[in-house]
Amino acid sequence: MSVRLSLLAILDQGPCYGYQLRAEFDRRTGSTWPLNVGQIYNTLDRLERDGLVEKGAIDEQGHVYWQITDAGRAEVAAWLRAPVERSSGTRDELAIKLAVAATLPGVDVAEVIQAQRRASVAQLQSLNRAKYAGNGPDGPEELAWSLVVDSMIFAAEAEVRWLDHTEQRLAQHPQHAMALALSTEKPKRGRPAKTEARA
Amino acid sequence: MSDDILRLVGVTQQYGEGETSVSALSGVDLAVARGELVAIMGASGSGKSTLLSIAGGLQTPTSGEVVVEGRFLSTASARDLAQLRRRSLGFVFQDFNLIPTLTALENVMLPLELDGFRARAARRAAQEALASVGLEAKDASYPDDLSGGQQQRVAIARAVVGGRRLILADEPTGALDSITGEAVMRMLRTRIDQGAGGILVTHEARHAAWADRIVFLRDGRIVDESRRTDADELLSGTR
Amino acid sequence: MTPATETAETDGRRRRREAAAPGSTRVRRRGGARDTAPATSRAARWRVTLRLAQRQVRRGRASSILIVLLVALPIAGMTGGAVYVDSLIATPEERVSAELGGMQAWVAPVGVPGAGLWQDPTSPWNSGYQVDTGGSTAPEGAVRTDLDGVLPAGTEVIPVTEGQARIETATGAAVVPAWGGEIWNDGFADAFALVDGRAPRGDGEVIVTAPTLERTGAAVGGTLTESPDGRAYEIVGVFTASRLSSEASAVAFPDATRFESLRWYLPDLRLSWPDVQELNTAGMVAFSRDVVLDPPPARADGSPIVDERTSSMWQLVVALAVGGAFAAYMVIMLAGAAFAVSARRQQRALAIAASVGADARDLRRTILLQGSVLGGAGGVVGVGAGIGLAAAVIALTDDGSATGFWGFHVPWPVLAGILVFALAVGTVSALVPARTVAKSDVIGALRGARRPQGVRASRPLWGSVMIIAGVGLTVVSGVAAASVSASQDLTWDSPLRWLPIVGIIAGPVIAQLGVVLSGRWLLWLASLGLSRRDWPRGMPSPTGRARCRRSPRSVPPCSSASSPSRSAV
Repeated sequence: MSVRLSLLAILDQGPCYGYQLRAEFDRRTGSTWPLNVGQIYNTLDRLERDGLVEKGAIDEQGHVYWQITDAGRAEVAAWLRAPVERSSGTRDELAIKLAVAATLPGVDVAEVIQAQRRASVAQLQSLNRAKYAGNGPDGPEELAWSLVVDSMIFAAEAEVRWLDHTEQRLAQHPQHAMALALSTEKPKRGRPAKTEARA
Repeated sequence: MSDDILRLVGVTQQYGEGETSVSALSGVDLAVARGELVAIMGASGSGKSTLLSIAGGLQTPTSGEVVVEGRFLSTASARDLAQLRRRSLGFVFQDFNLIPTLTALENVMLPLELDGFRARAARRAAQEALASVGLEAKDASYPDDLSGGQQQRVAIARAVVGGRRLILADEPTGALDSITGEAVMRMLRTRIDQGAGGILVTHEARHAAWADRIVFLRDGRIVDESRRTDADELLSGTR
Repeated sequence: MTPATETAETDGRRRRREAAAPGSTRVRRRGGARDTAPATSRAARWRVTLRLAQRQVRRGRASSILIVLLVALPIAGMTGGAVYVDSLIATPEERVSAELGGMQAWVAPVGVPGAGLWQDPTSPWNSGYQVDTGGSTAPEGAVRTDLDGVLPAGTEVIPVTEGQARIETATGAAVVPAWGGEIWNDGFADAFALVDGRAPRGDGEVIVTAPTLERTGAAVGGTLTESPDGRAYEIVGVFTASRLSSEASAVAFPDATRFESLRWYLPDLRLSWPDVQELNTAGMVAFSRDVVLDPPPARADGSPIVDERTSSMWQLVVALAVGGAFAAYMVIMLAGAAFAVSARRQQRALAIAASVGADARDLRRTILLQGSVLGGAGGVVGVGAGIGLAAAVIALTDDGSATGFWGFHVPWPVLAGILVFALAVGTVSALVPARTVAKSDVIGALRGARRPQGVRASRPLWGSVMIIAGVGLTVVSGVAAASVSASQDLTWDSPLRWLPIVGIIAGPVIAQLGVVLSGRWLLWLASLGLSRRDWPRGMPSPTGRARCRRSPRSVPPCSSASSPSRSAV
């Protein structure tokens, strides 16, 4: 979604042709999300189908310039204004793994947590080193890249913090394991009655 | 081994006696080399701050040895320990690092003057240290007139003035916002790269990530360690 | 590593600046200061502790001002007293000016010629005969009434006699001092001065002081009537006499033979000590300017002359010392409590200093120097205030005569001593808090004391001894005093008369000092005992306070707790 609207936002600045669009996107994301031209053209076609862009002029070299429509501009404005919705329900692998591990008797959850923590911290070390291999960001390109790296750093740290928190909660409730229950009830059909966890 | 600025061998710290005794640290072994920054992470109560106090001679362990620049702390008198704090190691705490009634320059000069340096030499060394953290313009300001980040930078300057080789930092970025915290960590890293050794106690993983080694403490024991990989070693290159 | 991280790292490598600032990665020896050990000095440690002390004093403004005032009050009292007393003591110049004005000397017939009369060189009122005859019988012979052959021929003399006159006043009659003789002579300068009118020319004319005019209701040109014989005189002028108060009435007659007490004033002739001694053999005593201003080292009989001023000053110093000792005791108790509180408030700054390498000695010095600084400030303030106070009192009580307050004398050496005393008192007040701070767990305060703090105050040796000794002394002295007053057969000057009194005063003082020294232990004891009791609800439990004080971070101001319990002495 963000890719599509980012391209639209770039076109909002002025008409671009395919390769130009790709270069712009690259530059503005610190090359952290490589796209190939085919993906660009697919996205442009879909945007045109939705009436958000239209084909424009063609220069001497044969490049087709795409330009944004009024509907497109409105779409960009709406995108920038609205917050990014995190997907509902958790499909986070780590959370599921820990939840299950915590309920299994005979599993040393602390070890599981420590292994994960160590990996996250190692990743943090790498990210950190990458970010500060030189001095601070000089221009907008560097800044864009470091913003993206920052998000990865903070995400990794958030994970470590959550691991600390989980460890403390498990310490407070030592009775977190449960043996396999042989239930005499027939398993119900259909979705569980509890709503999915909203992010 | 002789390159180690600090070595902890079998350090144990117990409070109380008998049944009510509490073990803050059990058999901790740690070595910090020149130019190495070691981060200590762990839950509160895991013994991080105790480890730092013991490393800096602020506290005597129940058993075990602490060696700072080849000097055994167990045989040091209170006066020797004070001299150690003047000459060999420097502390940076989370807050209340600076004496509020002295200017920034006077705060940085303090360990030197206590050691008997004459005013001119002490002043010169302090100004160099302040310049290295970018605060030479603020040398006549009182701590109350400095921002949190500036105060921490002055504290770092004080911790290294006079060529001290071991920096012990206890949550130095705890009271700072993330941008300022980053700047402080960068400064700390620069000093380490210049040849000092450091121990950093922190609960913020992204700051711990500045370290060469991250040590995990749980219930007073070291349970894990995270190092830079060899690949990283090759790549960094500027060492 | 996740793909995202990998990408970031690749780009990081791409972005890495190879030529990072060259200096920053080199291992650099800082400043070269460590390689060649620089000249270290002890003065540097003192300087930094003094600087810290001065700044801390400025920071704790209220408590500092309080201590300065505590010190300044007794100092002002001592200084005021010293200035007041010193102003009551004459300098030789002032005595000469009061006695002689501009004259060189006066001579008076006091004794029998040739009978071995001697006099005190600077104080001719002190005279006597060299005692060959046992007892106090006066030698035989008459006192001279003339100066023939005693002084060189042609010496100008002005005879003046002094006595009293009974005059009629507006409200009745009064007896006033009176002089006979030419006191209006210029040579008398300020001793006697004619300020209005003219000198009397004949026996029927007199001059009076200004208050006399008011008292008799007359004016210059009016009449002064003697009582009871009613003889009238014309008042022709007004004079002032330096030895009279500005309210005193007096009369001066031109006739020098009018009264008994005779003196010859010498305007020109200077008398040296041998000259005076010669006059003594002629039965005369003399007050000579030269002799008073430059006295001989010993009297005629060999006893050394002690400057009256010096001996008076020594008495003053002793009195100040005694008063000062009591004042010091009180100030040290009170200021000590204030210092204890201020030392506790400074604990964080001290802990920071300790973490940077200040040892116990430096910390102690910091607190002590604060005591010195505040003591010195209190001394300066007190001395200034004392001088002002004395000036005010003197101005209010001065009766105008030159012989009451001889002048405004500021005894600078004594004041310098008082200032040093103030400095000492300030320093001593800070002594106990300084030692407590140095002994306490300063570093623990810095780390926020996250570990359990145990208080185990060691039983103090000196403190216990002093408490026991003080209490014992008081009891014994009390018993002794009672038995002494009951007994009949002690001699008048037996020391047992005053020893018990000293004991009753000294005993509680010693006990109090003991309490201060053993303060923490006593508090710990008290907290143990009190914590076991059940206190009625609503009442603030003293154990609450005691519990707060158990942390070694707090220095209980014990002296302030014990001062009110002092027995009234």
